[in-house]
Amino acid sequence: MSEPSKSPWRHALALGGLGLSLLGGTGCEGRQPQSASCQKFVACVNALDEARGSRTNLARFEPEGACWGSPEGAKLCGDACERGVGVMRERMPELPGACAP
Amino acid sequence: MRISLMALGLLALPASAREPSAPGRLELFIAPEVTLVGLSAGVRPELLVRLGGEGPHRLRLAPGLLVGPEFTYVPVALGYRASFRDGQVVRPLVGAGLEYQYRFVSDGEPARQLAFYLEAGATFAVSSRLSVGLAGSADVTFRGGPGAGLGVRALVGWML
Amino acid sequence: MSTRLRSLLALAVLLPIIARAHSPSVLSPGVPTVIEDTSISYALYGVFETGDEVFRVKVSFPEDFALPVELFVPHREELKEHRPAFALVGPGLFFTPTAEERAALPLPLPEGAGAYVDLNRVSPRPVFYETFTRRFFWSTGVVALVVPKGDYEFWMWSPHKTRGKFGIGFGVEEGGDFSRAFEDWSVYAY
Repeated sequence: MSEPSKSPWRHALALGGLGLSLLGGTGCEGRQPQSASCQKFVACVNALDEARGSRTNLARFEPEGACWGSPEGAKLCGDACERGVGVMRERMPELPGACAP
Repeated sequence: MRISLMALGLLALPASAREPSAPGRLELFIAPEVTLVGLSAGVRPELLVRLGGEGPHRLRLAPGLLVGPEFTYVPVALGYRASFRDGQVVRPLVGAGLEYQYRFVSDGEPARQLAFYLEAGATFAVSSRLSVGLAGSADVTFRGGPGAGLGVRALVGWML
Repeated sequence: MSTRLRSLLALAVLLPIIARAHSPSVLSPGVPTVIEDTSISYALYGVFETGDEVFRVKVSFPEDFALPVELFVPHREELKEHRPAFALVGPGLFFTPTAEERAALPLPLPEGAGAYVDLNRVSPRPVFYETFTRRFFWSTGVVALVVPKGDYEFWMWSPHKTRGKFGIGFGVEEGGDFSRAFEDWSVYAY
């Protein structure tokens, strides 16, 4: 006959504590570099701003922006920038040279 | 309530069913499982390897195949499980470990994530080798994008 | 599922990630949803019950702004043909819709307004995995739009009168107001 564990709840508490600490410490995969497509998008919009005398808030797409806080955000922004530049090329006449392929 | 009734029912089993089990080194569970975040259902075999003789400590390996309305889910868990009150009818269990989570669809990139999981539940001895039970688990991913999940599974175990 | 159980489930799921995602909200047809703070990101969910609805979201940008936008539907077999369209409409937009896009709009374009229109015809449909809800979605494809300061509206409609759930997401910055998710978990989840 196997002997029941002498202190099962000690194990349970230790395990629970370990688990909670793991749950509390959701890992972070760190910042990502700005994508080439967003470098292009930012340069294009900056050139557009210069031509129009405006100033667009591009903070999220810039190298220190919110886009690059995680791989998922970086993927989203990278795809968005690529299509954003494409849409501008298709639909906006007389784009600055910085927007060219 | 259902669990209490189940436990009462098991207490009424013939004495032979409640006799302490021989401490086999391996235990195999077949576990129908439902995941509640990222809905899916399927089956999850669990192989438990007793660690260090007669204590509560076990190594758990649990691959699975679950299907949901939006994707197919293949998890593989490797962790620790403590199963208490060995030899008794009602045996609480707790565990923790790592889980690789692979979800895929036919027309897109699959999602690969790595998570910590916690589990808790109980098994009920039906005979010296056969047991049934219920367990719930929670997990938090730390690779492949943040997220958290919940799952429930039934356990049908056989001591090898 | 009872409200208490849904709330508990939502709480368990959302608490660990509360400051790391789009702020969710549920859209109603005919009643424009007003977004007060466009500096954070949103995921707004709705359901085409008849296919005739037009969902509207009012947004106001206090400065010239650039943000990612996409419309998505759950990746489920029964929604394979469900391709809601969206438009961002406002006075200062650089984009002029094509004649086909203009004809497809569900509401008349206000005088002097521009519009960015996505009729959701891309093929193959982009697919993404959302890690918080652990779900796959079909997307229009995310696009970064440049929006001069001013008041705008998102319009979402179902060009082929298909029915089903959809969502529109915009922005990147973390929001964190998940309070409404507790009430409407079934819309976000299943």
